[in-house]
Amino acid sequence: MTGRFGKIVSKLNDAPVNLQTDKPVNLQEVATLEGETVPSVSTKESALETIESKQVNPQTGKPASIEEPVEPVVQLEKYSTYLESDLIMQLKIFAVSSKLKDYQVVNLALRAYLEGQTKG
Amino acid sequence: MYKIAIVNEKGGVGKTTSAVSLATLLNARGSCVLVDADPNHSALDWVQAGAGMGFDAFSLEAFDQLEQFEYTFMVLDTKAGEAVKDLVVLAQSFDLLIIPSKPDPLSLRVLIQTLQPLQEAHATNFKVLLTDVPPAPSTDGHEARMALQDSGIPMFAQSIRRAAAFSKAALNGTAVNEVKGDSRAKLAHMDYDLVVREILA
Repeated sequence: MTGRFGKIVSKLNDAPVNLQTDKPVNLQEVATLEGETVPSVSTKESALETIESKQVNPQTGKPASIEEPVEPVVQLEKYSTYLESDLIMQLKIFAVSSKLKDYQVVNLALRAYLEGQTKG
Repeated sequence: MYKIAIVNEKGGVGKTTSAVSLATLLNARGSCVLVDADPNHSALDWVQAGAGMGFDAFSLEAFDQLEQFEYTFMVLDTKAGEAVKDLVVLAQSFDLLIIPSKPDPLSLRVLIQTLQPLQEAHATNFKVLLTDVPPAPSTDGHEARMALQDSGIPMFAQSIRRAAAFSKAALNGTAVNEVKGDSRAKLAHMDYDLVVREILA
């Protein structure tokens, strides 16, 4: 086949064809028989099957890795307040050195303070 | 593998934007490869401008050299003014040809030229996607849709709105929904998401 897309088209069309249905057979099945690793060829239906078989994060709608533990969802709310200037600087330095976000440091500090108040 | 080619005789109609946006969204549903057949390599420039977009991207030449590949989806971005015979070859070999077009008279005239060889080859696996549709009070998008539908040209129900965020995303090497400080960025991304749903329906 000639033209700019000759190679890519022949590459895509290289899949073995089922003579009865005239449709490409799944190369993965051939690979199993021949003990080789070859790319699988599928259609829209099998593409959709792949999508359906993936575990999906219900919040993001994106596929979730099975190995990765699902982190508990913490509801965050934007809240602004006033702090002393030098405290802001200390907060930022502590956050960077601890590899935390600024709000995480404020969360931890406030929680520790409030727990201390309750115990006291 | 489900294969999609993005084609149009005319340049600047949103081929690369559509290719990158669709590849991003399809990759969230299964592994996707983007093949850039434009000698300017605009799609590759976009993908390589940032920290990567999660899917594999190759030039046509590089993809031709690949011996093995395994993807659920392929998106092929073509150059403006592909040869007529190449368009017909793509129609015969790919599952779907998406033809992006702006809703202005000049783009629509070239669109008809692009569709002609496909219709003559009795191809049915193509759909027009209206892109860069200006917001109200402009009625350009609506008028173009009516005209194309009256001509019996297959179209996506969803159009892509005009958004400056696409250019910013291309510069940053990100998906359009990752552009900060632009309220239309997420909406533009959602437009493409609805197109993907139409493709997979």
